[in-house]
Amino acid sequence: MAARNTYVRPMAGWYRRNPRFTAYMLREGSAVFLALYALILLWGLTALAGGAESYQGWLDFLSSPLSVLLHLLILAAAGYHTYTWFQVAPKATPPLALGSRRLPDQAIIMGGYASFALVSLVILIVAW
Amino acid sequence: MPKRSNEPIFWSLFGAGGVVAAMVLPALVLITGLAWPLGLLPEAALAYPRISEFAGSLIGGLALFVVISLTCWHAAHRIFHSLHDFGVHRGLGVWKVICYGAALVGTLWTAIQVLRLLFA
Amino acid sequence: MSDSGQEIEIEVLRYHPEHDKQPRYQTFRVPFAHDTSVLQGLQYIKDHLDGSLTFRWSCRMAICGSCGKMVNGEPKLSCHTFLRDYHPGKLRVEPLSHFPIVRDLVVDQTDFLEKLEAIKPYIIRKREKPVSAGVYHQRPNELARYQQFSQCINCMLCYAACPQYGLNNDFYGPGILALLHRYNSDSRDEGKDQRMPIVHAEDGVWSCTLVGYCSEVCPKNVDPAAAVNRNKVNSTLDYFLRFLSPRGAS
Repeated sequence: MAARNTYVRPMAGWYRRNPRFTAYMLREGSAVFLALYALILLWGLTALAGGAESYQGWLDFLSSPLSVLLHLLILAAAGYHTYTWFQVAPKATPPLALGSRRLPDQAIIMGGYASFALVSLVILIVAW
Repeated sequence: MPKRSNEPIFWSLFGAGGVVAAMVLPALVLITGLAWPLGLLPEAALAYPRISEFAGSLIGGLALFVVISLTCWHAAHRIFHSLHDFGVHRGLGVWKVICYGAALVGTLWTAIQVLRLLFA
Repeated sequence: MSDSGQEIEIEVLRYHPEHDKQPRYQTFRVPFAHDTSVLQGLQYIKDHLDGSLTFRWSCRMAICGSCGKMVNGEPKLSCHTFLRDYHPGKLRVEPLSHFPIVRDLVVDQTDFLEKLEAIKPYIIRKREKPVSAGVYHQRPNELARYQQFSQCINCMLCYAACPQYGLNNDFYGPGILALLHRYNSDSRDEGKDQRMPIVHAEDGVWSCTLVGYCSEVCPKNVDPAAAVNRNKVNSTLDYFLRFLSPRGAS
């Protein structure tokens, strides 16, 4: 039986009460910048499909100081997303048996970062 | 018996988008946002003929579609659930339509552009 | 408690519903030695400074799960947290977050206990094996599948750490979902079908947003975040593949 006259503490501002929660909210907030970048890419794709002139318009935007500033923010967000994504990846990974032992979380995390580094390198090389 | 949630659909898209975004976006952002505008990449790296050939190819078009649309679904899911974290409890149904609806629009739009380039 | 001459200020949340409309804070100066726990600090206050201070505790050795408190905003077992680590700063002790306060540092556990019952935290057999038929056999690798999740002491620190539980009390929460997973993963158990509907529900695993703080505060390394999120995978696979199986969903 539940007690009477209990006091329920309000949740408002909960994410400001513990740095761990603030870090979580920043992680979630990175999604806004990822969405923004998806829109930038979509704009580029649309401009590309519209022909050389419209595409040049997008390239002109990329050269603008506003774009560079925006991209810096997006890069920080995307980097934080990548970092936190692989940190939590082991939590959703079913236990993978390696002989008699389970694949340790750190191995999964490092494997993630290694894949990221490889993929990034390939993209940068192809772009060059 | 509690009602079964349909979250698996959105969570799967969120997860796939999260992996793609984690792997691919930092490098892309570096290219479009910093390396190319600041001259660290050759001017021709993003030139129209080169990029339209890439985007108009089957592989290129598919890659762009996957990256853009999955990022949209990933962001939509996270943004929607963040509303709850910020204390928005009423009218969540409307927000769900707005967030995932936007992802759907982004997906369809991307598909159309990719097809335009494929059949140009 | 041996006296080394050091004192620390402990600010404690007080709430006596018979005359308090809302909680208030009261500060006490408490002497401590190198090995004095927060719990012993509270006991000193009760024994020498204010006998009306109310709080739960039992074993004093981090196994009963009774003494969970918020210490400077972090969920901790007060018997397992030491005053020396906070000196010369101030210590603030509050009841576990996300639970209604009954009195001072005591929270209402009813919701947790009701949910615990709901997940059927015991071995379920389709047909009971009589004692005369002998013991259950379990290989080490079968034990390994659920052992860490069986270490839960029901201390509720993970609930104090979970903002989703704070925002929505209907969420089953980390610890209970980890216990659900413990029984589903036990080779002796045949009751998974009875527990999965809770997993599949909105208030089951799908209210979790993988903050991950629950696993960080768990004093027994149960890793409830892993239990919940692995079940997101299980629930998703079942969601998409259920129509293929002749038995239907599980």
